[in-house]
Amino acid sequence: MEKLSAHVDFHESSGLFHASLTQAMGTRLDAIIVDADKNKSVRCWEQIRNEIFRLSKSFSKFDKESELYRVNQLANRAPIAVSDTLWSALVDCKKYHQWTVGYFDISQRNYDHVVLNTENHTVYFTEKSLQLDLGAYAKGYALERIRPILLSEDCRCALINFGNSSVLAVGAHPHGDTWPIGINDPYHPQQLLGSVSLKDSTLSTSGNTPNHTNHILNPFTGKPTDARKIVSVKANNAIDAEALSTTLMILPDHLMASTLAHFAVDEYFIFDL
Amino acid sequence: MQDLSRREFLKNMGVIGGSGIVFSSLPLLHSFAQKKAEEAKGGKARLAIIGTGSRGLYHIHNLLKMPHAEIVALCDIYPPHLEDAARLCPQAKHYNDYNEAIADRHVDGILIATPLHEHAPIAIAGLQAGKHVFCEKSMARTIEQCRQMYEVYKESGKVLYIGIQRLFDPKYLKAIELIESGAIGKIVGLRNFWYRNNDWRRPVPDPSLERQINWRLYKDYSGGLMTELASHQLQMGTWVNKSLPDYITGFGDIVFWKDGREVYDSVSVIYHYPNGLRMTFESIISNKRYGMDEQVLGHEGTLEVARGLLYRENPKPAPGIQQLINQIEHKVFDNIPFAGPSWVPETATSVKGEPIMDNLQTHDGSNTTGADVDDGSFGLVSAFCSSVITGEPAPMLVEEAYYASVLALLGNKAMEERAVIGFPEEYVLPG
Repeated sequence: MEKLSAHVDFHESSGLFHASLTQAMGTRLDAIIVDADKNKSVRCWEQIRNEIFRLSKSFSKFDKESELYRVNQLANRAPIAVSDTLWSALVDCKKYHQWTVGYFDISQRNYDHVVLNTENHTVYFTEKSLQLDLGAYAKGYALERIRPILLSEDCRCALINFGNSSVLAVGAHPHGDTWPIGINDPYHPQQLLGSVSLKDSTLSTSGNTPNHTNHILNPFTGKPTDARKIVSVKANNAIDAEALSTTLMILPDHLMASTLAHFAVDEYFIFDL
Repeated sequence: MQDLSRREFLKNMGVIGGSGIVFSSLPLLHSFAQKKAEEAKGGKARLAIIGTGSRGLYHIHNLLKMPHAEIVALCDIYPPHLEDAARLCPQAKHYNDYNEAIADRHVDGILIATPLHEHAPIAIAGLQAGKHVFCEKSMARTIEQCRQMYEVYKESGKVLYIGIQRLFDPKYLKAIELIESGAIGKIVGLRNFWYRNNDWRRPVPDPSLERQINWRLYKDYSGGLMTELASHQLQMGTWVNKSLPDYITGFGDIVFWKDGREVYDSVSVIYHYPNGLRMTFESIISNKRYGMDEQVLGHEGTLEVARGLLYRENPKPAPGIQQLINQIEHKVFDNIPFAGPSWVPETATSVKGEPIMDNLQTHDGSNTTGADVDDGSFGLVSAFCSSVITGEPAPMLVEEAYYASVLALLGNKAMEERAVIGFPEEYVLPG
C-alpha cells in the first residue's frame, strides 16, 4: 500500500465512518459509511482499500509496475497474456465500443486494432503505436467492485465518491430518502448546474474544466470537442454510467437514440455552458 | 497566578515530572506578561544599556517606544558605539566600566548586549548588586557560567531575562498551541536549520580591533553558530518535547570561510531524546538557499514554525464531502455539491502550507542584528521592563533559556570531541 495514503475517522454519535485515499488511480476516493457498528465499516474499508490497490496494479497507465503499462509496452510486438481482471475489463470495453459504434474507445484511435484472443486471454495490437487508457472505465469498474463489498457486510447506507466524477450511492442519506448530489459548474465554482438524487444507483460526470480541457478525444477525428462541456449520467450500473458519460461528450446527435437504447440509463444531462 | 508555587505551576501545565525539571511554560508566560504589564502601568523601568553595538541599538530603538522604559545609562568600551547610542539617548549617562553603570543609583535594571564571554560576569555583577538583568542570548560562554548565573539569579531574588524572543513571537505561541492540541499528531522529529551566505564579519577600522569587533569568530568570546544561532532554535526542543536529550553528537568544520576564524562555519548536531525523538540543528553560512526554520514533524502534519505554515499529511476532506459529514453529524438533509469532472490531485511539491494565523509576520533569519519584522524581541524586552517595575520574575523563562544555552554548548562540546556525549547530570536543574 506504499503509494496509497489513507485517512480514516469515525463519528461516534452519528455512526458516520469516513475514509479517504488520496492517490487512488490518479485521484482521490472518499467513502462515507453510516452504520452504528464501526467494525463493519472498518472491515468494508479494509477490503475497499485492498481492492483499489489491486485494481491500480492492473489498470494504471502510468505505474511502471502495472499490467496495463506492460501491455502498452509490449502488445504491439506479440500477443501478451493478461490477468483475469484486465481481461474482463478489455472484453467489457469491446462491448461498449460496439454499443457506441466506436465512440467509446479506450485506445482513443481504433479499438478494432486491439485483438483479444478468447482462448488464451492474450492482447495484441495490430497497429504498432496504439496505447490503451482505462481512465473512462476504471473508476466505474472499481465502484462495481466496491458495491458487493458493502452489501456483503450488510452496509445499507453508504456513499462512495471517486474523484467527484464517479459516485456510488448505497441506500439513502440517513436523514432523507435519497442521496442528493449537486453537479458543480467548473467554470463558476459557486454555482450548481443541477442536482441528481441517487438511491442504490450511480452517477458519472465527464467533461472539461478550465484547467483541464480537451482530454476526451473523438476517436474518428482524433480531436476533442468543445461543444459539450459537462455530461452527467445516472444509471444503475456504475460502468454503464462511466462509459456513457465519456461517450456522450463526443457522440454525434444522430447516434444518440440508437446508442442510448443499449443502456439502462435513469437520467442524463449534457451541459453546453 | 502570582501565588502559584512552582509545583502547582507545573501541575497546571500538565507537565510530567521526571528526573530534574521538565516543563512547558510558554503560552502561559505570554498571558503572565500581559498581566504584569497591567500591574506595571504608570511605572518606569530605569535601565542601563551595557553593550551598545548593533544589537544594543536595536533594543534601544524598541525601548524608546515603550512608555514604561527609560534609558538612564549607556555603557560600552568602544567609543564609536557609545556615541551612536548617546545620539539616541541624549539624557543618559555614559560609562566605560560596567561596574560603574551597575552602581549608578538611578539604574533599576541593566540590559546586556555585549559579546557572549561578558554575559556571565556582567549579569552576575548586576544581580549581586541588586539590579534586575536582561541579558541577550546565549546565556553565557560556558556551561559552568550558565549554571553559576542561574544560581546567582535564584539567590538574588531579582529578575533575570534572557533574550530568547521566540517566547514572545505570536506565531511560535500559535504553533505550540497547535502542537499541544494534537493538530499534527504525535511528534516524530524536530529539524532546525539556519543557512546564510555571508562571512559574518563586521568592518574593522583598525586590525587591533579585530577580535573586539568580530568577537563572534573567536572561541574566547563566542561559541560560534551554536551560541549565536542554534540557541534560539534548540529551545524548541524543550518547548515541544518537554524533556531533555540524553545524548548529543555532531560534526563541525570550517568549510568555506578559512579566514583565520576559530569557530565552525558549518555544523550538524543531533540531540537524541529518551523517547527516541531526535532534534537536529544544521547551519552553513556559505549557502543561503534554505534560509532559517524550525520544522516540527508529526505523524499527521508538519509545522514550519518560522514560516508559520502547517502542512497536513492527509489533506482535509474535499469540500463537498466535509459538508456531507457536517450534515450527517447535525442530522441535516441537504444537497451535496461535489459532482464534476475528475478531481486531479496536486502534486506533493505544489501543496502549499496553510498559514497558522492571520497577519503572519516572518523573516528569513538573514539579518545578523535582528529581524526587520517583530520577532518577539519587542514583547520580550517590554515584559522585562514590566518585571523591573513589579520586581517579579517571569516563570520558567530563565530555565528555558538555560537549557537552550546548555544544549548549544553541549553541541559544541560533542563536535569538538567528535563524540557522542550524554547530558551531564550535574547540569540538570533541580526539579
